[in-house]
Amino acid sequence: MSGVTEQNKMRVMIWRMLGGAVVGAIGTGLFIAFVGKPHMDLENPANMLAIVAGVSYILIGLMVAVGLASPKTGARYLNVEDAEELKEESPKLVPAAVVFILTGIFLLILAMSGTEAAAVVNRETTLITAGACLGGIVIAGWISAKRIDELTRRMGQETAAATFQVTMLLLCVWGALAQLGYVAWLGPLGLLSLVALLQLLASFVIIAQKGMLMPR
Amino acid sequence: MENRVKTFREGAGWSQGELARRLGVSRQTINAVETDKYDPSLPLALRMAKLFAVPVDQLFIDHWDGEASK
Repeated sequence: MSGVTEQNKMRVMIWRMLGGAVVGAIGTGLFIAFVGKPHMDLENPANMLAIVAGVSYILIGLMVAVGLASPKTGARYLNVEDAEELKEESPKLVPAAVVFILTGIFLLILAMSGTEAAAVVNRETTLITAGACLGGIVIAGWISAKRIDELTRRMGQETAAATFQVTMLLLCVWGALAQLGYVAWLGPLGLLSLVALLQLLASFVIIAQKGMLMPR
Repeated sequence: MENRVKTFREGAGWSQGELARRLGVSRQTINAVETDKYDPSLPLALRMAKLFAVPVDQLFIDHWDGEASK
């Protein structure tokens, strides 16, 4: 493969990553401006973590969903060879997109809830919505696991292993410091959001390590 | 691990999509194998060899030298 082609691929990859970062930043900014600032305690780091994680998951899920709905457009920003490949991959990408969107909603609804009177969503509505999201995640995840092939399964296993190791390391350090009274311990929402973000980060690292962020 | 999947696939006149369909995997998997980004499982390697009617060691080349490692 020529150096020029490699350079072009690198350029496309960088533009795609920048585009993703910009979309993520705009989405998070809009959510904070219209929902966070008026209704949520943004001084609470757990809420901020949940917003960043939740919006990221929803945006990734929506980008895949939009790409599947319009394969010609999707083929321009999802890493596939052409629109036809996107159609071929739709049986496994549809449940994956559902898992991403539901995970994002799950985190955001928990961040918007609370026992305080100022909470955006009351406790009962949150319980029902979060429960429905979890149910959907389990079902869509099960369908996705049945449809993926060995490459995706291997990447998923490597991502899960990396997420577990980094989470354990972080929790051990944080837990030890919290036990000694140096830092505050993570609340439930902070913990959930942290694991979700680490999983997202781990998946990008694993994909990048295998050189699969590079356009084909 | 080095492999000659692309050579045999092109020799058979198949696209990546056609080989993927015959093996029951995604095009991305075939692409990852051909570009040495992913070593396939033993069952998939055996199926590839069977499909191209060649021994596995003609399809996948391991440069490990058993004598040198003793």
